[in-house]
Amino acid sequence: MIDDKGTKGQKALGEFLSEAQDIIESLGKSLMLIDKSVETKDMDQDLVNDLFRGMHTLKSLSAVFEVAPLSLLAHHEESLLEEVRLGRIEITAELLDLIFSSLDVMTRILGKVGESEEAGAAWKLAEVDALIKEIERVQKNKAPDIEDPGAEIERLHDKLQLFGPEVLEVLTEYEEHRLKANLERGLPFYKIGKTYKLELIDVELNAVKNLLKSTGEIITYLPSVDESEPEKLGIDIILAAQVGMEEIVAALGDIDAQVTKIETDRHVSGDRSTPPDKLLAGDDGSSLAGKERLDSIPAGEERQRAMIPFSDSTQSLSLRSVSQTVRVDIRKLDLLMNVVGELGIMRRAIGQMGDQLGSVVGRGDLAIELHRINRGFDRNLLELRNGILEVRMVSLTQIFDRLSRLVRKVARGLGKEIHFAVSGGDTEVDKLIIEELSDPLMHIVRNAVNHGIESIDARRKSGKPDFGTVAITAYQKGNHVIIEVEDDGAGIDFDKVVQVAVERGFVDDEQAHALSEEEMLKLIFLPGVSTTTETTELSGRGVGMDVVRTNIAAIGGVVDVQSEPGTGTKISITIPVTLAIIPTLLVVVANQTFAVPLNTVAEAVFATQKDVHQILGAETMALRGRTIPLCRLAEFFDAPDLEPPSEEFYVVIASFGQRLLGLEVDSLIGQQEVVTKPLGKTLAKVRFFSGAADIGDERLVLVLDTGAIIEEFYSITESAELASPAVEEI
Amino acid sequence: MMGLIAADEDVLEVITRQSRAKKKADDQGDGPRSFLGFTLSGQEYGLDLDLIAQIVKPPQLTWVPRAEPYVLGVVSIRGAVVTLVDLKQLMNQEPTAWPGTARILIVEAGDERVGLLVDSVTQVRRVDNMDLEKRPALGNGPQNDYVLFLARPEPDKVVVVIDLDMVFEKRLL
Repeated sequence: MIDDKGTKGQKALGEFLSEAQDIIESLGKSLMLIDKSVETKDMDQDLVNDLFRGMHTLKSLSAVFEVAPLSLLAHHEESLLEEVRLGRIEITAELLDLIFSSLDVMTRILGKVGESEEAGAAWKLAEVDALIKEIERVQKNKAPDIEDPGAEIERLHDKLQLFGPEVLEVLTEYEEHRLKANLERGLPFYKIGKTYKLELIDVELNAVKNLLKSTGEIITYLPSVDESEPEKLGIDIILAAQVGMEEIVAALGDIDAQVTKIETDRHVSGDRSTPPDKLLAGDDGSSLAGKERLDSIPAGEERQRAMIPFSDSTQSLSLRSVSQTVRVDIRKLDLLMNVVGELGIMRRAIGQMGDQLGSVVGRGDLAIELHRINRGFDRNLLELRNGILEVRMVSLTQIFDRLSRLVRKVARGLGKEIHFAVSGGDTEVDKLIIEELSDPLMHIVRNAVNHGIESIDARRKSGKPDFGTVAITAYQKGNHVIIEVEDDGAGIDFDKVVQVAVERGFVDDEQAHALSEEEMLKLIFLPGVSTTTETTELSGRGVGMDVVRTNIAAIGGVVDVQSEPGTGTKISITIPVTLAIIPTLLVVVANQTFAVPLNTVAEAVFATQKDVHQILGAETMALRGRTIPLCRLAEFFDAPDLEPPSEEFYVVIASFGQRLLGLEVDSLIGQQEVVTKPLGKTLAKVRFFSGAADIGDERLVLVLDTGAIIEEFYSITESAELASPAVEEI
Repeated sequence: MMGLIAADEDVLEVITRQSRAKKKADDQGDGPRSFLGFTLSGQEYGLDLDLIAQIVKPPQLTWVPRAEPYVLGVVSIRGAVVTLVDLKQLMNQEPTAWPGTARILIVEAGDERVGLLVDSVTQVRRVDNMDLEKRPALGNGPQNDYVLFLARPEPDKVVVVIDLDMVFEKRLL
């Protein structure tokens, strides 16, 4: 694997990592759903299938990339799941624990691979071995196969015969298992027959399948070819239904299909007035009897081949999403965004040319035309920009799934029963925000389970239901997304919070007594106040609400807390939907820091007054044989208490379209990526700044709109009829 | 006085929600109405409590070059960029001394939040609806457009309740 590193390349590895992570995420999701239905015994069998297939994909994928520990573990998981799928191993909470911890280990292996391939390959196998041993133990201890021919099985066997050999012979082992399992539950079986156009078969069949999903479990599909209509294929779906015939017909809606009940209640030896062959056939004369239809395709191999197209389309979600989506490195989108910025600058330059052209006599029509084109350019540019922003949007589902797993794990560890209610997972937020949101949300949710929800005993005493509820809700409101985490636990212990705040010297005793509840809530955001003294494995790295607040503030968000002693706590996070992150050069002008967008900076040089030359009243400097006009920013900004020009300074060579301008600044701080936030409408008249940014300092930093500054500078000098120092001809 | 915690500046937001809940109950019928009292050059003014999102101590200010004179700069309030304006200059008075006892009232103006610099915050005034002088005739002074009510919470005390919409309409938006 080490040798292959060069050939496979970092790019492929990156794709592998993100795809593997996606699969693990979706496995975790299926697992959560299974966990929810494990008590009701009413599980969607597809979930187990998704799990099985996902694990299989993960195994193959990690084998290709030679991540041995991962493929080994996935291999064992797959064989375990195969037996679960076939009903040989019962699904229990312990079994799910085992699979959950496997997923955790897999995620950690991926993390190591991400650091370096060697680290991934050399992942301490002990942990993987322990899991594999556990898997093997479970497999050995499985319930004895239900193969023993008891009377019940005999009866099932009889019933199976009702489906006729043409069905039974082609069933895979898994399908047969499901058929038996549903027979055992005494569910009625239906056959849904329909002819499909070959070119649309995957779409149509999927549509039918989705409609049927709510009515029961699809056992198998039996295709048949009608030679008179070679472009069509008849398919009978065998459905183990939870509902009656009417509901199935209703679920199918407008779809033209025949629904027939397959009698399984009668004894084979009894009334034979309706032979099974007939039962499998549609009522409609045009559809052939099942036996004949099946005869036209040799059972077994041929049928398997015929089924490939649509069985493929029913593959697990993770596979389908791979084929329909494109993975894009977020940095590429940043790059595109920068290009959009450049285009914006060009657009302005064109607009300016239009203005100049308009003042030339006889060229008015051209100017109008140029403006018209420019407006179209502008519209498309805006669309492009919005499109890129949209691509960056990711739904919160992934985070919420991870949180579900976290809640389950923490709750099981503490012996608490938690109902985790999730809504609004489809709310979309910029990818970068999602990244920053993950840790604070984990912390908040962990807190809710750990400290918010009381023990079962305490809950009973206060007359609450045994299971605590932690609800997470997300919704969009204007340009912001609001995420609320609410629990019905004990609420925040104000006395304790105040006590810690006093201990830490944030408030004195006297003030402490005068605090309102709102003010007490504010105290939990002070460093060290919300961190509990005992650091358990579950309460994590001991980060407090102050860190949560700082992290959220870094992405322009706000945290609010409401808490009612005895009834619960609600924490709301308000975050912007998108972030505009741009690389900048931080400079100092008139004792204040400003950020110059890096894409408008050609270079930055040190200069002294000796380098400044007066040409026709304008200050310029020469840089590699080029004359560059200088703009003393402090003066340009009308800085109060303007100091005389200093002997030494820096010049940031800014470029706008074809024009260059040397911006004189006091000093350079360095490069920094900043999140720009727009200035309010009250400052709409102020040009020269595209926004403000938090740079970790207490103070905001204004981001220069270099284009506007250069434009303004040149319009002043041009109107003063000074030599226009355009550097190059367009 | 509202209970101000002398601690971390950032935590010094005195949220008026509690008083607001009280106000909500009061607003039914002709009961008392609540205003936040503050001073500008010694005179007490009032603003409807509903308009005020937060009260904060002046944080680190960022000067905005070539902005209107009444714009003091921008500040970061809980992650958002808030334009800070000098209410006195907006109302054609002398500039406020910075920072001193000054406080910032964060109010909603259109889509954004704007910080109003005031000399100090006094208290929440609850004045009977009946005792408000609506749009008093004060002659043709330059500030008179901004006066919504005159309230007399105490016999010798006059509080000028400001029409914020008017202030913004005239100067800001």
